Amino acid sequence: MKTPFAFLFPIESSRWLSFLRIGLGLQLLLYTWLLRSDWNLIFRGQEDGLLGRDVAEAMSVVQSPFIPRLTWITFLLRHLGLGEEAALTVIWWSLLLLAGLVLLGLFSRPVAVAAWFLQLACAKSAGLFAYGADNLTTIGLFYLMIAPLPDPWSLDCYLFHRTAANPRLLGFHRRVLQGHICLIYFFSGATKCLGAGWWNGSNIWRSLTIPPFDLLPTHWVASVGFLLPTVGITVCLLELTYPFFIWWRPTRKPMLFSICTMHLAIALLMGMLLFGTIMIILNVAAFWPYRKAVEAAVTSPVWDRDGRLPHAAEKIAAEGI
Amino acid sequence: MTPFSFWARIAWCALHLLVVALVCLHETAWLMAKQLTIAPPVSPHIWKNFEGGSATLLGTDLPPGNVFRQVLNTYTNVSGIEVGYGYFAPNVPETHALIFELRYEDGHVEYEPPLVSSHEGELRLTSLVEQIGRTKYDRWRNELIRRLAHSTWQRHPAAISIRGFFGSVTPSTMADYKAGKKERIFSCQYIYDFTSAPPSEETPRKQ
Repeated sequence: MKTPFAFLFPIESSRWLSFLRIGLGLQLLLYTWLLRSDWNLIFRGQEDGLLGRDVAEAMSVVQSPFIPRLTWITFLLRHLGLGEEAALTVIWWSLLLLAGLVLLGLFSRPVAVAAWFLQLACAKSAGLFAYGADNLTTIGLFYLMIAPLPDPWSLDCYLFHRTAANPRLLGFHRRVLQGHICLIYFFSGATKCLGAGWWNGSNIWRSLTIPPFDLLPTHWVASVGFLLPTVGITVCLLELTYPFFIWWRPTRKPMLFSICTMHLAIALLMGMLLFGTIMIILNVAAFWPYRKAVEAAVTSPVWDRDGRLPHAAEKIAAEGI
Repeated sequence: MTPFSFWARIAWCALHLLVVALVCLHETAWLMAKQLTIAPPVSPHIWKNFEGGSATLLGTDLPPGNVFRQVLNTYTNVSGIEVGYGYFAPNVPETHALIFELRYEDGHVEYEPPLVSSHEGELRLTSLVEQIGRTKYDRWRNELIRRLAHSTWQRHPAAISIRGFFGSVTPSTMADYKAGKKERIFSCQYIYDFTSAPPSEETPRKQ
C-alpha cells in the first residue's frame, strides 16, 4: 500500500511538463493575438483607454502593493524615452516573444518567470476586463514557473544538454496541479448544482443566447430545447464527480475526454476560446496517463514498507529529489 | 533534496491547496448565506459563520495594512488563486447593458455602446459591464461610466452632449421565444448626463 509520501511523490515522466509548457506557450500566443486590435484600448493609462488601467491598478494596490502591474514596466520604459503608446507596443511584442520562447523551451526557467510576470501584470492592470481565462492562465504559468524545468522536449535540453529533473519531483509538482484541478471542478460543480437553472436547462439557454456568447443562431438552440435540461445536468454531474472518477483508472480517460469535450464546446459555441483552451491544457497536463519513465522504480522498497511514514519520507528525501 | 526541503514542499502543497479550498468555501458559503441557491433553507447564521470563519482564515477581516493580510493577498494574487471558480454558478447572472446617446449641434442624435473591435475584447467588455451592474457603490459606478463616456466622446469629438443609459437586460426565455416573443427587454436603471467636454461632471439620475 502506498504511503501518503509515495502518493505525493510518485514517479512521473516529464511529458506532462512538456505538454504544460507547450500548451501555455500556445495559450499566450493566442492571448496576445486575440487581443492585438484592442490591446491599447484595454491597457492604456489614465483617461486614454476605454477605462484607463489606473482603476484596476488602484484596486490591486489596495489588496497588496507588491502585485505586479503594467505601470511598473511603463515607468521603466518611460525612462528609456518611450511614451505610453510605444511602451504598450513593446509589452505586446515582449509577451509574444516570451510566448514563443515558452513554446520552444529556450532558457526555460527565466522565460517562464518573465512570462508569468508579464501575463500577471496584464491581468491585474486590466482587472475589470478580466474573466476566468486570465486567472487560469496565471495558475498555469505559476505552476510552470516553479516546476522542475527544463523538460526533455525543450530546446534547453537539445542545445545545452541539460538533464531532466528527478521523476519524483516531477510527480510532486504534477500532484499539486492535479489537486488544484480537482478542487476547481468540485466547487464549480457543487455551486452549479445549487442553482435551479442548471437542472431545468434555463442556464444553458441563457449561456447560449445572451450576447456576446450567442454565436449560434437562437432558433437552432430553441430547436434542440428538449436537450438543454440534460446538458445542464450533465455539466453539473461531470464537474461534481470529476475529482472522484478522474483518479479511478478505468474511468480516467472517459472523464478526461468528456471534460475536454465540454471545454471544446464552450470554446466553439460560446466563443470563449481562451477559457476553453486553458482548461484543456491544464486537464491534459494534469491527468493524461503518460507512460511512466521509470517503471522499475515503482517497485523499489520505498513503496513496499509497512507504512512507517517518517521512514518512507526519509527514503524519498534521501534519493536526492 | 534535504529533509528540510522535502518537508517544506509538503507544507507548501498543504497550505497552497488549503487556501484554494478556503477561497472556494468562502464564496460558496456567501451564496448560501444570501440564500441564492436551491439548497434547503438552513439558518443563514450557520453559513454566515462559515463565511466569517473562512474570511478570518484568509485575513479579509484584518485591516488593509496588516502584514499577514498583505502577504496572503500577494501570494494568492501572484498564484492566481484569489478567486473561486463558480463560473455561471449557481445561475447565469442577470445581464446589463450601457448605451450612450450622442447629441450633435445640428440636433441629430446617435446611439452607441462602448466599442471594442474583437470578440475577445467584447468578452472583456461584458465582464466590465457586469461588474458595473453588480456594484452597490454609486460613486464607483458613476466613475466607471464617466470614463466609458469619455472614451466614447473621444471617438465623437463633434458631439455636444452624451447621455448614458445603464440598466439590466432580460432575455426571452425559451418558452417566450417559441411563443414568438423574441426581443430582449432593457430596463433602464440609471441615466447619466454629460455636458460639454471635459465630461467630468455627470448628473446621475436613478430611474
